[in-house]
Amino acid sequence: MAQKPEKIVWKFSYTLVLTLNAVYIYLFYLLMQNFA
Amino acid sequence: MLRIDWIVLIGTLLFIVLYGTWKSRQQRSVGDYFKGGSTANWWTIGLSVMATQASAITFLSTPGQAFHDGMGFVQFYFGLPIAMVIICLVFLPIYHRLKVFTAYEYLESRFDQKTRTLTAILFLIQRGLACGITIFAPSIILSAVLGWNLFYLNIIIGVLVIIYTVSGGTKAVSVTQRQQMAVIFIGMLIAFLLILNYLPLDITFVKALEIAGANGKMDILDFSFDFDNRYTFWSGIIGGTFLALSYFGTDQSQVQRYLSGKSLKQSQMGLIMNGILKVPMQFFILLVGVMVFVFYQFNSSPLHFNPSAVNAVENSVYAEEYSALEIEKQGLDEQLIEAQLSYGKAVDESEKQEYAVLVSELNQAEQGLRDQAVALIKKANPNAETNDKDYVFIHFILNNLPRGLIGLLLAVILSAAMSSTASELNALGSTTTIDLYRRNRPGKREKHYVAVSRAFTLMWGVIAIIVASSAHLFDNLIQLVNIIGSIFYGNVLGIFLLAFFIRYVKSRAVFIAAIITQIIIIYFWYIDLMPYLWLNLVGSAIVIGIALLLQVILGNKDPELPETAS
Repeated sequence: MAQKPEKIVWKFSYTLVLTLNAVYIYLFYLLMQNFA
Repeated sequence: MLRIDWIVLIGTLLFIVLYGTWKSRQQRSVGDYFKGGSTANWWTIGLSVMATQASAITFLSTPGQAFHDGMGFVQFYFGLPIAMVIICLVFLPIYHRLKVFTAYEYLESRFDQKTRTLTAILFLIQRGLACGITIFAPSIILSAVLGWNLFYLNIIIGVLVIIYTVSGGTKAVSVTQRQQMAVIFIGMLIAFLLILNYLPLDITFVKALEIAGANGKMDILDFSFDFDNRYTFWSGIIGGTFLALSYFGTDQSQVQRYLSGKSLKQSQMGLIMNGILKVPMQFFILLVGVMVFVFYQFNSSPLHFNPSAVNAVENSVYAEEYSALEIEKQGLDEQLIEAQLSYGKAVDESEKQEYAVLVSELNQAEQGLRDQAVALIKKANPNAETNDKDYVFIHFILNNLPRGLIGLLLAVILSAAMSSTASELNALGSTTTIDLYRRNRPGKREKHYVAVSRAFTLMWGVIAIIVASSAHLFDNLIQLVNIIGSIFYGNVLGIFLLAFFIRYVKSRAVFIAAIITQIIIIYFWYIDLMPYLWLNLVGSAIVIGIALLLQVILGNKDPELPETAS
C-alpha cells in the first residue's frame, strides 16, 4: 500500500509566528534607524 | 574563583544532575526511554529544542561576536521561524502518524531499509564526532582562562551528562534542560543588568545604544546582495531556512525532542515556541555583547582576549614589541574613556557629533593596535588561535562580576554544554538502538532493548569523552568536524527533501543517488573545489538531481513499500 500524501493544515499559530518575526525585523529596522 | 563561586557552580550542576536522574528513574520500555513515555507538553519541548541548539559556544562566542562585529549576526536566525512552520506543516504530521522513534525510521517506510541504514550511519559518524567537540570547545576556553586541567574538565562534563542521560533517557534530558534553561536565562539577565549598572551614572541605556551605534555595532540589518558578507538579510532568510530545515527536521538530536510530545499539537506548539523566542533570544545575547563593548569604552580592555595567545607572544622574541603595543593601548584607553564621558555629557548636537568623530577615530586606532597584536602573535606561533571572540565575555565575567555570580555564569556555560551534549548522546543512543540494533534483531523483550539502549548511550558518551580529550592533539579538529558535517549533511537533507516533497522518486533511485552523491562530495572536498560550507547545499542539490534522473531512467519499477517501519 502506497503512502497517502499528508493533508496540509494551516493553523493560526503559524501566521502568528511569521507575523511576530516580521514585527521583530521591523523593530530591528527602527532601532537601526535610530542608533546606527 | 572564591569559595562561594565554587559552591554556586558545583551546587547548581549537581542539583540539576541529581534532580534529572531522580525524576526519570523508572524507564520500563523503549518508548519510555527514547520518547519519555510521550508525555512532554509544548513548553517542555520548546525549552528542550532551544537548549539543544544553544551550546556553551553560543554563550561564550555570540557576545564576543557582537563585541567585535555588532548585531548583524542575528540575521542568521531569520530563516528559523519559516523552517519551524514547514516542519510543523509537513515533517511532524508524518513522523507522528508513523509513530517513529527516529527520523531515519521514516525513510524505511518511504523508501527502504538500505536508505534508512545509510542515513542513520551518516548521522552517527557526524554527530558522534560533533558531540565530542560540544564538550571540548568550552573546555579549552575555560581551561585557558581559569587554568583548569583540560583533560579532567572534559571528563567531568562528559561523566555528569552520562549519569543522567544513560539512566533516564529522553525524560532526564528534557527535565534537566528545563532547569538548565532557567539557569541560563537568569544568569544572562543578571549579567546584562550588571553591565548596565557598571556604566557611568550619566550613561543611560539609550546613551549606551547611541555609543554602540556610533561605533558601528547597531548595524543590525544588511539588505545588500554581497556574497562576501556572511550575514545579510537574504542569506539569513534563504540560507537560514535551508540550514534550520536540515538541522531541526532531519537531525535526530532535534527530532527526538519534539517526538516526545504527548500529542501532535503539543509537538507543533513546542516548535512554534522556538520560532517565536529564538530571534529575540539571540538578539538579547548579542545585545549583552554590545553592552560589554560599551562597558570597555569606559574601562581598560586587554589588547588581546585569548590568554594562551598572549602567553605565546610574551614568551617569544616579540615580547618587547607586544609590551610596547600594550603601553600604547593604555594611553589610547585613557583618551577614549575621557572622550566617551564627554560624549555622554554633551547636550548640544554639534558637540555630540564632534565627540562621536573623536571616539570613532580612537576606536579605529585601538583596532589598529589589536591587528598589530594579532600579527605579532601569528609570528610568535603560527598555529595560535588569533580570533579572540570566544574569550571576550568570559574575560568580562571573571574580571568584573561580583563573588557568587562568577560561579552562576560558569554554571550557565557548563549547563549549556551539558544540555546540548545530553541531547546528542540521547540521539546517538536511539539511532544505534532503533535503526541498527532493533531493526536487525527484532522480537526481544522491552527490558532487553532498554538495557541495550543504555549500553549504546554509555558507549557514545565514552566515545565523546575520548574525542574531546584527544581534540587538542589536532590543530584544527573543530574545523575537521565541521567539514565532515558538511560532507554528509547535504546528502541527508536531500534524501529527506525527496522523501517529503518529491513522491515521484522511489527507493532504488534515491539509494543509488545517495551513494553517487557521497562519492562526488568527498571528491569535491578532496580537490578543494569550494568552501566546505557550500558542500551542504551542493550535496543536497546533487542527490535530488541524480535521483530524479535515475527515476526517469529506471521508470516505475520499484516495489511498493509497507506503510510502517519497525
